[in-house]
Amino acid sequence: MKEWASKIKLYWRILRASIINTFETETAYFGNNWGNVISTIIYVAVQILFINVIYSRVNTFAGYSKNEMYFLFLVGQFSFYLLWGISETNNQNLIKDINRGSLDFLLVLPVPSLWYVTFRRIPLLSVARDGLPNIILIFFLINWSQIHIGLINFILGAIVFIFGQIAWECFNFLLVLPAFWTGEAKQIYSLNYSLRDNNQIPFEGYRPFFQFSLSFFIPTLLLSTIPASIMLGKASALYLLPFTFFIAMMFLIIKNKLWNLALKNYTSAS
Amino acid sequence: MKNIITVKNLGKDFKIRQNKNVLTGLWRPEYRYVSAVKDVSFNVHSGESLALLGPNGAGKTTTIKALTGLIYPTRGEVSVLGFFPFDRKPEFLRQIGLLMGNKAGLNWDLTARQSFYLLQEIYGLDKKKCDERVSELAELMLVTHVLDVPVRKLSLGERMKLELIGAIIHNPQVLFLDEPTIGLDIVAKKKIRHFLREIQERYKVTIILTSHDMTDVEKVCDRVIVINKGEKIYDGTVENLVEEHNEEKLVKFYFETTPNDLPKISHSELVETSEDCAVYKVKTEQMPKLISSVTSHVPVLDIDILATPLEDIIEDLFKR
Repeated sequence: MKEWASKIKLYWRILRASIINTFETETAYFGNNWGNVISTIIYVAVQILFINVIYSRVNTFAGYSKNEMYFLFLVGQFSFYLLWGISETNNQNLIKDINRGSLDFLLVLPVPSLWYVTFRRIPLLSVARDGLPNIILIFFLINWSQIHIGLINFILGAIVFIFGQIAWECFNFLLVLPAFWTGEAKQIYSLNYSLRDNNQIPFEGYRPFFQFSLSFFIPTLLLSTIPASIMLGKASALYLLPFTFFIAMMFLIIKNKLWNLALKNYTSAS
Repeated sequence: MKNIITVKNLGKDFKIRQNKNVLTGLWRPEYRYVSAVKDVSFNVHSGESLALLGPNGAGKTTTIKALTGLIYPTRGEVSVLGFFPFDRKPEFLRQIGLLMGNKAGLNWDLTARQSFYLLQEIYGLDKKKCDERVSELAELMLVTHVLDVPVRKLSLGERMKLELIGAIIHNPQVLFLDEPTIGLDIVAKKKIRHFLREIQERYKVTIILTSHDMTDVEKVCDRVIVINKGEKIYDGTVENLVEEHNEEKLVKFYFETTPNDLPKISHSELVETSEDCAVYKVKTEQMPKLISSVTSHVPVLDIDILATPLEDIIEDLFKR
């Protein structure tokens, strides 16, 4: 128990140092800091326009009112920035490190390599700068009196949401691993951008075949559509909660196994 | 002295993609296997400083990577400090340091001190002790003034010195250096060599080094392993290597006046001439004959007898 406590303390100290280092890196090039804000605001504006166009012709879409659709969009954006903060930067860096052989310096550090490559950079500043304005904007677009979210449903949905992020993070990570064999994986990794786009469509809008395959094999629906559906009381957490837990654990195990296999194939480019 | 590194019949093969035709290679890639290291065995004692020498592609860096656990050996046994390196146990990794001359370990956008802070937390070092050690090492390397400058703004020499401090910040038992002086000017090279000797004596660090610069080897290492085409072809002290292979000497004659012609002497080769001097390469046993012939032919001011440079000896070893 004591050993575990000291390990957790050590990992927290490393994580804190990494976050500070990342913050210092983010602020190293002052002029570059604000470029992304404009593109994300445009993206959100287009999405809001799209929702408005649809709901100017119909009252519900796959059983979702306009406010519920905004809520789904909110959960989707929250998931996007959360994962972007944790996995996106680290995965892209990992591809570069494998390609250039600079992974060497991470592999000789006395910390579990998989944990370190997953969490070594958490760009809090970028996430807050790019994500918060959009999330706040969508939050205030929702007429909260028009949607009903119970406390229990919210908690269950939040737990499913966490499992969903774990599953998707692991899935994304698997798209990085071909770099160990091919030397490059940027294009393979870019698949995740198109694959995750379907998480803005309500869960109830999919046929059962797609509901299963887009949760089990490519877990995009676990990102926001299933959690939002549970929070809104549309889908039952009774079977979705254990199902999502199983998927998250399955992907965690696959990630761990394939990472060890990939390291055996690491050639360390010179 | 305690044996801390054991390598037995180490081998590493790489699968290399090789496509002669760009188009067919897109759907039918061809591969071939290359043995970067075929069969290498050696032991290293605690406190030793060992150089791995060899031409490009000989397998030196691959050997170092297998010793640090970066790559998984195809065959053979490797043990460093009692660990199989590839297991990458934290207890093992805490005891080794790695510096690669052709790769940057420090964060490009940060200052070295900021990067050292992360290393301090990773190695669980006491802040005060770590700061003292960084100051001590930076003073030794004359880089105290650049500790707070972003790494991207440093010269290559300054960066390498700071990389070296990063590699030994946790006081490792074994330090692996892959071409630590590559691309550096003579002053920076000298400083790094002196520093390596200093830390080896002060902290009893075992040094394993690869380099193409023979001066690195002569100044830093006591023992040399020569690898060629993935196999070990020499293992011994630097002195023995020079002695065993010093069958030839260079004899440099300084003349009073520019000679009209120089004598041709059997078993010797005129390798360099200028207005007032000439250099002959001669078998050691033929040296008296050469000196006698030249001095009787041309008035000589002075004579220098030089051992064959280590570079020539190594080159000769590769050719064998």
